[in-house]
Amino acid sequence: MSNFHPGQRIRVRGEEWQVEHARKHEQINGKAVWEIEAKGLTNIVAGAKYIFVDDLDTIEVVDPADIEPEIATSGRAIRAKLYWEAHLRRLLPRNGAIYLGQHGACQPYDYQMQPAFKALNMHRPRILIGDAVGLGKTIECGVLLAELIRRGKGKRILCAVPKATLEQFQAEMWGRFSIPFHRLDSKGLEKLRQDLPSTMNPFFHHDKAIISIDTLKLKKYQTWLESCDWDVLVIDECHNVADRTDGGGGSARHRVARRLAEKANAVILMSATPHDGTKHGFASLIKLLDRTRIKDDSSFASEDFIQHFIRRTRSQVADQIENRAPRKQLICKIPMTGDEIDVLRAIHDGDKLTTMLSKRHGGGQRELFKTTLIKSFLSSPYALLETVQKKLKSLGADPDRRIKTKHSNEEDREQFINFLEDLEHSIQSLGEFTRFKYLKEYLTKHPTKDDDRIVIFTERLRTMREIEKFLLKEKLVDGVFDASSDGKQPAGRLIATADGSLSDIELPRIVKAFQAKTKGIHILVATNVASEGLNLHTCCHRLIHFDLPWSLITLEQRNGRIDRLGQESTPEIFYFASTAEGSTKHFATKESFKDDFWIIDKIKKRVETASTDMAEEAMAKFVEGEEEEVQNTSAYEEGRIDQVDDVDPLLAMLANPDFAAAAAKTDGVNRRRLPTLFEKSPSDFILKLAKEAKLDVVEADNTAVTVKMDNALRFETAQWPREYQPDNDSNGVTLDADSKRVQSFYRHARASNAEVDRSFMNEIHPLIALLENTAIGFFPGRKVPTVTLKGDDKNAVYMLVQSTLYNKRNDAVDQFWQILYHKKGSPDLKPLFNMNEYDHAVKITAWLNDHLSQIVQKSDLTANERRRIADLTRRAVDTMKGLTMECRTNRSNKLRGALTEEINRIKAWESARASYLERLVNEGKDLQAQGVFSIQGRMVKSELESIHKDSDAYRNFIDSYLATSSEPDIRILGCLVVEE
Amino acid sequence: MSGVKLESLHGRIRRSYEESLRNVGNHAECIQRLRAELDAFPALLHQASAVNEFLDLDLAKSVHRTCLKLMAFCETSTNSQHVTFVLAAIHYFVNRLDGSPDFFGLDGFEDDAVVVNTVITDLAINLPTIQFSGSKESA
Repeated sequence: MSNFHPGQRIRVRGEEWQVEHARKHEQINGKAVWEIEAKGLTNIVAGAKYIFVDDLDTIEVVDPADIEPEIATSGRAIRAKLYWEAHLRRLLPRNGAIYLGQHGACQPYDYQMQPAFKALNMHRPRILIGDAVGLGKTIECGVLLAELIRRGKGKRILCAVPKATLEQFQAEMWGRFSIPFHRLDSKGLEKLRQDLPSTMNPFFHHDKAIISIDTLKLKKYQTWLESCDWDVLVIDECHNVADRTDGGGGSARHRVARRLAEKANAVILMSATPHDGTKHGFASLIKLLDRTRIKDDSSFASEDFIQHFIRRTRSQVADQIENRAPRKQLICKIPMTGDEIDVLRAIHDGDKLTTMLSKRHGGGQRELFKTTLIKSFLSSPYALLETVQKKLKSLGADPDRRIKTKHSNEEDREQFINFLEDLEHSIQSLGEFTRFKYLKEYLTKHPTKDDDRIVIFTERLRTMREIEKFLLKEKLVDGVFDASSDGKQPAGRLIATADGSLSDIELPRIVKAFQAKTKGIHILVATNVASEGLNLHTCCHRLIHFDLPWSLITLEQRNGRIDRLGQESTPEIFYFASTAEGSTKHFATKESFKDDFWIIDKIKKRVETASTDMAEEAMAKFVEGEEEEVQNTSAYEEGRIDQVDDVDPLLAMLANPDFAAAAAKTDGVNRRRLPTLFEKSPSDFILKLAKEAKLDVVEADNTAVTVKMDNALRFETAQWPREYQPDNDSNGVTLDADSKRVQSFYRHARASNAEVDRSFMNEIHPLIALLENTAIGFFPGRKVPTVTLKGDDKNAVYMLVQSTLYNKRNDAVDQFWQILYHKKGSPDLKPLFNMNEYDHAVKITAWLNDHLSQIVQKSDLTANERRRIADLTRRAVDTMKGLTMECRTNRSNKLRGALTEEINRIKAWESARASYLERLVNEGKDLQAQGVFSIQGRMVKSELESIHKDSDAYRNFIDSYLATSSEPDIRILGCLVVEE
Repeated sequence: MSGVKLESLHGRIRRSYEESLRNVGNHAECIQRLRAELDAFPALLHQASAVNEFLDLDLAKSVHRTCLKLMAFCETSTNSQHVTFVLAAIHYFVNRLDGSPDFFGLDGFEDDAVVVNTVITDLAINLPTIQFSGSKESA
């Protein structure tokens, strides 16, 4: 049976085709069947796309030596040059240099190239980008994705991001890097389900998809996700998928991330706060990248994971980023009223609360509920009222709904209910909340403008609603933005609220409208759902923490929304902090009294004891879960706050300057230019191609072209993400190579909520691929462009030959170009270039450019010239195969040492991990003997039994991805004959 | 009675070798079957190396040569128990999906070498000039 590869010529049903995709399916009977997607090359099928299955059709691979030279000297061999350029643009780069990243529609800093450079130099690109907030992790990810796509390693990419950033991530990938991600939000998935047969896996439909982590974790998608794999998996804000169950198997998010990571080749994790305060949580992220890095989840060192980790703080890259004024931060000390202090004191001193809860659940539970109440109050009295009323309801305080709980003592319960009812009464009799007064005063003195909005963060939903009500009542805003509607919104200054209950359609709608100057959202009030990943800095530089999160990470993530690269104004951050200080009613036990300044003191202590960088690292201690969880885990939070002064060795390591330097260190980034035969301008290839192919292309200037709409383009653009498909009445698609101009278009479009009428002209843009196909179509089937040259070496023949090595997955692994020279009368063909050199294609390009200047215009080849070429083709194919096999051997010799080392490391890990797991099993037995059952025990046993799977996974990787077939695909791309 | 110290083999290698022991059955039939498989091995190896250049061909060929010699030992030995252990080792070698699948990655024959080596050492079999190129075999 033949093996089929993309690029191969095949003969089916009497016509020639070019293989675009080839997949091998194993049938139940053990027989393998090839499914081949091919494009017609000859006669009536030219340009048509078909799928063939080799047990239904006879598929014959066309002999690469069977060629028909076609003279291509007209117009200085422009058609031949376009044909070669199209192939050159698909030639795989052969080293870990950065080729495309620096050419994105962004101003990439050197440090932003480093994660890609580090990952590209790994056998399996798997990296955790842990840069501090606002340093451009998305750009770093885009650079790496562009490089992987260009290397043929990024055909199928899945991006899992928080639902708030779905649209933003998609827009950045398209706008900056021309990577077309299909957004699988609830609307997108629903449409797919409608369009596809019910048995078809929607995750196979798009090769590049972006989806919310919360959608991915849904049970109904698990079977589909299991059955498909991805070349690259990207998880943004990856701390959300860390395992926080301490070995219990992880949350649904973690489990789905683990399954996806196991099946993907490359994995890119991103988070400014990768450490969640537990070694186990951090270890779980590292294990998503490489399961064989951590032997003992509770004790590991930096050298265990540094290979997969990169982290830079603002100060480490200060010399590279623009000189911007540091953020202004102001703690607004807001004195509480006497009545407010009374309420807080009641919570602190609540004897009834203490007695009741002490009896029921012991001291821990007492502290838990007390903290919940304090935390609610410090958000707002309304939030406290809601908490109290919920508790009363659950206790059956409503006489009509009273139920007797078997655990509580009736007398205690009554006492507790009385306490809560008193508290409820006190809250209800409070006057206007003091923080509202300050908010009003601030907003009156410093009103918002169309291009100067404000974002207000709060911990509590109820507080968010009350802020909205208050601002409307005080006429500080004119109306409410309706996120459920895509239509007309009220006029004037609007307020929008964002919380976790919004859908993945509504939330991006609010964010987009907030970013647009033409839309009227002047104030955005949000819970922590909007605190991660969003770019709110484009028309907003003021942020108010209406209440303080008890998590330093949340605090920093919130600030990072406006204090990030690209912020043009000085970020102004206000912390509203209530204090009882100075009040005559303040009570004696000040140390234990928790107001906002108690939180600030805790934060300050941490900051004071560390350098700025260390403080950033220290924040990793406080990462927290999604909003809904936070509402109910105040004791958990409380527990963490109490741990502040414990020094976690791993955190200390993360904060250690030596480690920080190691995590930030990569070798100097190697930037290269891709070889091209069209040096004049980026649009030169397109313009010349358009002229030759009679495409309707208009040149806007040296760097931009508009390809007018025709049937082929209409068909192509219909495959693009719906958000980027040109309108029906559109004239065409504009590609612009001017990075700054494209960025300014996108900025303008974001501000005016308009559509961008152009795309960045990147080599991986889908339209460029379409144009390349047009150029390749100049010489269909057996035809090979042939030119005649002037020269003294009469009758000499040069053959441009390409060879490709494929792995078992049918991905091109290595690719070579060569010029084979034959002097008349010589027995052999002589290779002119050393194919083992990474940049041999650059040299060949220069050689071609040089020789194409010696073209002799001819209308056809002589019979003698044709005979000469025909005599040489078989030898050229064989010679190229031999040369490729030498390169294959060299490559395997070069890799073997590193792979053996890695296998040995994994074997050592396997044995150390097994000892660690056995220890856990024994400890579990001891616990079981004491009557304690733990789910972790079962997980440990299961891991122990399947420990060899991790080392097998690496062997499988070598086998499927690195090992290549000894049957390279050889193609003669051109002949150059020195005239007789 | 002397035998192979199974405890010196670890984890999957041991389990897989035990499986091979269970598969031995009738010696004459087994010898015939394994000889055929040993004869077919070079072609299989050639095929496998065509799609995996990382295979340790030298080690594979070396273990193959040793197995051929062990086969000769089985045909002449009168110690039935020893023959069972040796046939199991040869079975292990020709089994592609053993403790560490043979044509997978680059160390697929290391476990075969370990098993063959253990059998030769534990049974104190004297084979004329065994030359393994891999580092693990010093028998």
